[in-house]
Amino acid sequence: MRIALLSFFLFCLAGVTVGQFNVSGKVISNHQQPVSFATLTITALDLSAVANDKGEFNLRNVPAGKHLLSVSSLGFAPKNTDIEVVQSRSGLVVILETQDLTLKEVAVTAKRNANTLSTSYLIDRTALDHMQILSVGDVTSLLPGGKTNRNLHLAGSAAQMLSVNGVSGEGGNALFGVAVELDGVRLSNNAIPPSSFQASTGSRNIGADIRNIASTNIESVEIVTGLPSVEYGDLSNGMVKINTRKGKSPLVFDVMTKPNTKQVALGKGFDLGDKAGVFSFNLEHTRSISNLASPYTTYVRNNLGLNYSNVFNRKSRRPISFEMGLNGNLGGYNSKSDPDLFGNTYVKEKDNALRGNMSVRWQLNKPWITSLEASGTFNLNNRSFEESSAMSTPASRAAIHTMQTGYFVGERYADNPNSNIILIDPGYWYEIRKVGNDMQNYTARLKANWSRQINNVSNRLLVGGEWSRSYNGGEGEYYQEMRYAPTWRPYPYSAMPAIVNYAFYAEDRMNLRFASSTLRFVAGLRSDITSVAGSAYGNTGSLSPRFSAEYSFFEKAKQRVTDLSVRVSWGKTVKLPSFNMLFPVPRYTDILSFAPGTTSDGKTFYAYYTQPNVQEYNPDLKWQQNTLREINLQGNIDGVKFVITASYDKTTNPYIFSTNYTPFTHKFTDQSALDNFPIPINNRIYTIDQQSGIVTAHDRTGALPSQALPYREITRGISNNRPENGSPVYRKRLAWIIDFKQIAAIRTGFRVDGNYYQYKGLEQTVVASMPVSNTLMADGSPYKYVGYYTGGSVSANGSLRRSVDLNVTSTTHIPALRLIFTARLECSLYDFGRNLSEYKNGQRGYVLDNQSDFTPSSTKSDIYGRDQFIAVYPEYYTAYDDMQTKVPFAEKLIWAKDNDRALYNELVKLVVKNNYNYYYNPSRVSVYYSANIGITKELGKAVSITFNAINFINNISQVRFSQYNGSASLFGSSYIPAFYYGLSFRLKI
Amino acid sequence: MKNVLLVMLTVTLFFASCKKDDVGPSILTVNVQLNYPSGSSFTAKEGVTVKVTSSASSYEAKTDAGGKAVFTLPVGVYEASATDSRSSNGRSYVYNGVKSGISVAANWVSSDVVSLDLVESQRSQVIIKEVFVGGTPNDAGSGVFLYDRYIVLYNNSDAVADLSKLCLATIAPYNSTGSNAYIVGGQLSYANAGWIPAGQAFWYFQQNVTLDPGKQLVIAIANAVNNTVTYSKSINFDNSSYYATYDIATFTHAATYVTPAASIPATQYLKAYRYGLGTAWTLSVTSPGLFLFNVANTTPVAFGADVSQNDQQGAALTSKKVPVSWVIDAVEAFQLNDNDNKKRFPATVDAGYVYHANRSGYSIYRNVDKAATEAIATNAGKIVSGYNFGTTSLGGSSDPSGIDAEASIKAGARIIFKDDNNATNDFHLRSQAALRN
Repeated sequence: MRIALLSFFLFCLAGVTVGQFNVSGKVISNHQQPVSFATLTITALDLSAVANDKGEFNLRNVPAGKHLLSVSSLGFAPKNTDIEVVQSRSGLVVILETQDLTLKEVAVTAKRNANTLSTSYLIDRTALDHMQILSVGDVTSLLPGGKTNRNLHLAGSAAQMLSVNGVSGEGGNALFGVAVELDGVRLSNNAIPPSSFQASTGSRNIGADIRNIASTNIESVEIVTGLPSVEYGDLSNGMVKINTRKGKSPLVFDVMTKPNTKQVALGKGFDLGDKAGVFSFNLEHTRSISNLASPYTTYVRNNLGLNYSNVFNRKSRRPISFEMGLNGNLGGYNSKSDPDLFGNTYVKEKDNALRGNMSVRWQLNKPWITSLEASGTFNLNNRSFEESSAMSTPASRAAIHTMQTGYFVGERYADNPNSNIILIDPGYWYEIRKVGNDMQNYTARLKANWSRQINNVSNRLLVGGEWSRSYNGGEGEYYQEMRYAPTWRPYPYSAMPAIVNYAFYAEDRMNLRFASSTLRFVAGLRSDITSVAGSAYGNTGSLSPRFSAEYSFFEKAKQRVTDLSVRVSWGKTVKLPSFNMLFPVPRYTDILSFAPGTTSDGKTFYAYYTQPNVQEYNPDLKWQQNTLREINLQGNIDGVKFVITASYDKTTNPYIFSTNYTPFTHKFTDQSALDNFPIPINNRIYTIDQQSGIVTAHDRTGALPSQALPYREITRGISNNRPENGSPVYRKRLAWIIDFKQIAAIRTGFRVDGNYYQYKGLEQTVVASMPVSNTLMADGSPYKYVGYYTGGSVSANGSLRRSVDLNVTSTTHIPALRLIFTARLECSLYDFGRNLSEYKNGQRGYVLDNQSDFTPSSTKSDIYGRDQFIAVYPEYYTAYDDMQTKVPFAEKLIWAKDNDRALYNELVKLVVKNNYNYYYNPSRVSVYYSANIGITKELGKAVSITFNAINFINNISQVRFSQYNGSASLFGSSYIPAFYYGLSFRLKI
Repeated sequence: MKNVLLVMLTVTLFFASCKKDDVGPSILTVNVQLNYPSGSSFTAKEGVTVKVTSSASSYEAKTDAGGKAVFTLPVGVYEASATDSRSSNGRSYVYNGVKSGISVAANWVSSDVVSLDLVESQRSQVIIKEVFVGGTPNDAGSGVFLYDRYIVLYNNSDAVADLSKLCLATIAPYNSTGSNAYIVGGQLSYANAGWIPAGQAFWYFQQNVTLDPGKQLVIAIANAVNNTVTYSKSINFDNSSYYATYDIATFTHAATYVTPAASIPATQYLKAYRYGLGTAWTLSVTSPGLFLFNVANTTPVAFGADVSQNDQQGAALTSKKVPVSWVIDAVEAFQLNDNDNKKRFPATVDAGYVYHANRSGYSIYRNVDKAATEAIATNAGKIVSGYNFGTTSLGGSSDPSGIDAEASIKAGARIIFKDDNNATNDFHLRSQAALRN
């Protein structure tokens, strides 16, 4: 390491440029045809060139030495080749092989991306075609130990999100922390609205819905489970980079059919001439249905992708590469035409998207700068939601729209359409709820590279900046007819300020080549400055240092062990908060204040006290971040390739919410004040004083005097939310991929990949909580005690999970037959989980002798003993009549049991217990497995057919659950996908 | 030759396999002996009806003087039950017994005796006359309106009844189908514990209420308003004599609890004591298990507040342990056309069950005690027969008395309802809720 650092500093000080040369040549296909517009890159030096329409290229300013040249073009297998440069050379011929099944090596599994100093996996088009990808979510099954996506279609009402490091249900907002980019366009989830307008998106921090990405337009997917470059921020749980199809290509016609999904697509890349560049398009229509027996609820994707690229000044020393892309989607979820639903009831949600990216890369090749790249992206996603429900009521229904503090009485819409409280008349109606949700994200980036090489030392310095803006221009929730709008308040998302982030980063990559080994390292620092103008948060900064070093012991040595390398990484990534955190939908506390009896025709006149609850500002709120430590070992022993990665994640300051309670006294008037009332019921008009809450009944005929009604005073709590940072969560992973040498006789190779995963999270934040709002004291008044619980008023304040997943994939590839067949066994060897209730230094909770008890057992103390009920106590409690005095709970409860039964009967309402005696038992799921097969056959150069069968053995065996000594069939379970199949047909002309 | 032998063997086996069927089912003699509880002032008598049922058939036989009934039954699994009513010193007693899982196999010995232990309970002064919980189809055809539930109490005695300590509860679990944490080893865990679980909450009267003999008291369980304004097949609760379970501080669910009709005085709202979770009182719409109890030596509030009387089972199902001796009346309903029904009341409370079907406006209605009703001299000429609200043709049941109680009451008759503490005998499924206009 010291050698490396010393070399680096010497290198920087030297600043000497050794000889630089031109390397020119031609890219041709294995059929001796020129490959036009192929891209040639020497990544380590940030040098690149694009071939012209005749396949000719010229790489300028290549320093002397041995370099890895990467050449790629759509429709051809990418090629990495070493070139030795000692002087300018011409006539270099690079032969690219057509990407089809006649190739000697075809990968239909994930490949480790060797070009980065991070743990990342590449899945290319051949693999995507072979697995019949329908959604990007399908590809994570190819990660080590990955499992086939159980979402077999797109037509669910729930968003489909990507999970990379961590899964749903764990602490630390695992899905929220995954960054997804499509051609550099970040599918940001920061502008996801602060509303649980749909049950499926009820979680406050969620990931981007990936269903609107056209699966046929994906050329490759890179999944970064390790530390990405400092170029990438706003993430904490991995990254997925999706590249669409670009470049010249034949006309490709795709048809895919699965039981729930039909898909058709057409794409082509056009050579517009040497100076005009390349233009390509991809058009896709996909229709998924949710239920085969009732094929009406659908998700539709109509996607058009356009890409254009060109190189200007191609012949000069400083060519300018230009790329732009536009991707649009029209579609979404719709249950409107489902005849199983009553009348005109439906749910539909648009998923319209427009994304654009443009980049200009100027290969300057100056002594002080190698290249300069400017790029910009936009991502507009309209997820407008509409739901029609059949409603009815036999009596007036109060719809509260009050947005100010005070008492208000309801009025019929016909009498006052602008009333704070509308009383919906008895009868039938359709309630049509809409949510205008228009997410907008823009980015602009500028980065400069400075590459140099001295002898065997190459260095690349990257400096850049990024501006991004997340905004939601939607109207928020509203109702088509105010007459029938239920309790609701407008909260236009467009009124929320934009989250603007400025990022600056610098990263240095150095390669030191020794005689038979190489040391590579990268060190970078990213600074994010987040500006939320118009909010109390103002400007907030964060730093993300990242470092990786890799030492390759034997590079292509002719011995048993070749290509052995070890890499270590350490770094931080920061996830910016979303609108959900910063601008949650304002809540309103509505307290019934007047409830007179209902008239014979169903009319009544409720009054409510309303208090707006503004989320508290937390000046100490920190941005959620993840620290990753990773060590990676990879190599090749006797032709057996292996990659082993061990990593340790610590997510700190995850976003959570806490609640505060404030006592409040209000007035309440009910029918008892009106029994035997002199004014006839049909002549009464009620008013309520906004401040005092006193109700007065008036005679609309004027015959009888107005009369103030008697009331009761009631004290209850009003709650406010506050964003907080929770306790850290920890994840450990050990992932491995072993590729055995192909058995020539049967042309079959085997891959064994797997994953050990451990998650542990324990929430230690002390949070105030009360029993459910209709809990009363024995005397009928609202419950008055507030408990303060470590980790919240939940039985378990954390969980532990460990799992071992193992996959065995056989790949039979017969180039002569243009056929590839895979069989994959997906096994869950170990699946362990346990609910935890712990403080930092001991258990949190008391064992009960019986579920009906509230005080600790005198004989049992280990909360993890089998089949027990555990009581969790608040640390202390306060009462509405004295919110300052914190009374230790456990001591008081035990004292009250023998000395004050009335208090005891009340305090037990703060005790939290597990619902089932097996809740804290270790949860071990027995071994289970599923198997898939896939076959792709090319019929000549033009046609290929793929067939896939998921869980083709239709495994219906039993799995056992140790937690409660039960078992269940795998059939229809959430453990393995259902038996499923698909057939696709591709035509290339 | 080998082929011939093979054919012969096959033919032999064919006929051999048919032989057993030719015999037909065995008919066996089964004796059922009624055992009266020790300490009871009553002993066996002749003429008590004993019923034996299987999933396919039902048989009845009368006891001899020794309390033994003799059946001739085919092989099968049976349930035996019997109800015997007695009176002494002005009090009425009922002896109920039920025994399930009686396996009568081919090797049954005719001298074997099935012992049917009877348990003693007293007849109630106040009874549940009708329970309506299943909802009515709405006029738009978009579903069922479920918030028009009610219960009718009836004074079946000759004395004024005091309801001041009367509480209304539902047994836990709420449905007779599905899992029941109280069933351990096929038996109710509290069967001999002297209490039954009242799930979630109970209701009680705010003030002293009395009920005259032969009078009824209607309690609207939800939406105590004129529901027919919107739902023409529903119930109109806009009646000043009705009561309502309305305690908006305890149960806040707006769709269940609109403010009761102004004609119902606030003093006629029942109050709730809640010890389980929920914003509305949970009452099964498919298979309710309702019961009435009188608190003794305490108040409903004090009983509700005392957490030492709580019993928690499973997922947040908290019940109050109500002493069996407090129970006034109960009705156990099973869901019609469901094989998963399980008894929740012990035989001392309700030894039977009545099948119920929801979503169609049906109610559970008490059968008329024909003999007792016809024995009242003033009823002469006022009893209306030809009852046609039975649901036997729909798979339900009907009132075996054939008396139309509602029509008879309107005609001025004093109806005495059956009260064997056995819902099988006491109730039937009525095709239309009696309060529906």
